[in-house]
Amino acid sequence: MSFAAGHILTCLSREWRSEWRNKNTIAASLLFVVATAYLIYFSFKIGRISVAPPVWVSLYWMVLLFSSLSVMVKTFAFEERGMFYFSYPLFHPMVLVFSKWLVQSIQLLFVSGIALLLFQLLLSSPPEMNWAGFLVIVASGSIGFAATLTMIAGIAARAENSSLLLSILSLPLLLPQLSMVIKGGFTMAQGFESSLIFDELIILWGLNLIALSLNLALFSYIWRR
Amino acid sequence: MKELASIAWWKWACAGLLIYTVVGGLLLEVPRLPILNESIRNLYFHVPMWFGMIILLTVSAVYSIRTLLKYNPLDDLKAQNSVHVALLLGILGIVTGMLWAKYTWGAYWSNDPKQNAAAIGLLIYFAYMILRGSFADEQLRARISAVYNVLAFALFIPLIFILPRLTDSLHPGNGGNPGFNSYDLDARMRLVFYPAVIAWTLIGWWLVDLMNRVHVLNNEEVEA
Repeated sequence: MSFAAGHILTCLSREWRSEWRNKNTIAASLLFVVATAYLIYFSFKIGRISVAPPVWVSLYWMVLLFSSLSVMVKTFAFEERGMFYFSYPLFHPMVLVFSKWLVQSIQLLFVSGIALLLFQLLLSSPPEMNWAGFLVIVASGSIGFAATLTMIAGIAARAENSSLLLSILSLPLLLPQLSMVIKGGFTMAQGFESSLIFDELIILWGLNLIALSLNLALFSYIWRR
Repeated sequence: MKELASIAWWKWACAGLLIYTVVGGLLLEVPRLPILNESIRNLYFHVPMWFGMIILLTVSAVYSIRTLLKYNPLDDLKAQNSVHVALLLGILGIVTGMLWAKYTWGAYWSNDPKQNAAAIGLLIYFAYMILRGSFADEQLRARISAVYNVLAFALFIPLIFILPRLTDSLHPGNGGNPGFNSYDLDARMRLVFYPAVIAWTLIGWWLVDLMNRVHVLNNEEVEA
């Protein structure tokens, strides 16, 4: 029960291994991303419509939002089965939630990268896209989604019918972050300079930090008996 | 007479202020401004209802924090009922705002950042009520929904106060549109506006109080 770096590393590697053993979850969400990207491609092909830059950005974030939900559904599957009696005495709750957040961030970054590649491949991306700025937004958004969703997944895991509850609770709560990434994404898709999304990034990171710090502060209340 | 005398002073104050708000708000002089015209009187209804909602949500967040620190079923009850009444005030506020918008902006809903933030805010708190419904254990429900309530409040405040100010909005107080400080610099309007804020907040708290008491009475019956 301490904040020593060793503890964080042990906890991280444990979280990582437990996610790795459950490759099914990440595979399912990757399949979800591939299927939706293909579906969007297909429906635009039928209508013979080209994807305008703002549509491209909104569709990308919608796909990413729902695939993040499917990644996060199983975050607390291990704890839900009563196993938190085992992990709880071993690690400080802050260490535990911090490593959960880190591992989920890595997964979401991975999924968002794959989604970006698919969108680039199937729905040719906006020609004037400012890639550096857009990638910064995608990375910040994924990390922020992981922070908010880790907390809500914990809340939902303690209730009945948790997978339904996760989406009901998180969609409205993610909207502030979502509106920032979409707004910044539009600016970047029109090829403006990266400095123009400074305001959005500041607010996004403000929201990310609120979510993360509440996560650290309130996590122990979710799992305490 | 005895019953009347036993009513708490703030309830008398609330009733008096509400009568004053309605009568004074509809009859007293207001500045004549183009487009707004008489609809400026909505300042006495729409705006104070939102103020009341935000105050009640703050009260609820405080009770949720108390629940987390030390479990007390009454604190949890107060947190829950405050959210219920805040939602009622929020719905009344959004409806009065939409009616006002119809006559000044030309449409009930015009994708204004403030309208959207308001709608999202209500969704967040409706989700709180759904969350409360999905627990069998009372203590667990109290604790988990308190955690959600704190998170919701912490994300709701930036949503409602910070985000709409960054974009252009038709709403008074944004993007060059007159806010309260320019059109009701008029002391006449403050004379009704501030009492109206107190009145709508007090009637909200009165409702919360009644709901708490009904709940307690019902539970006593069950136990007896």
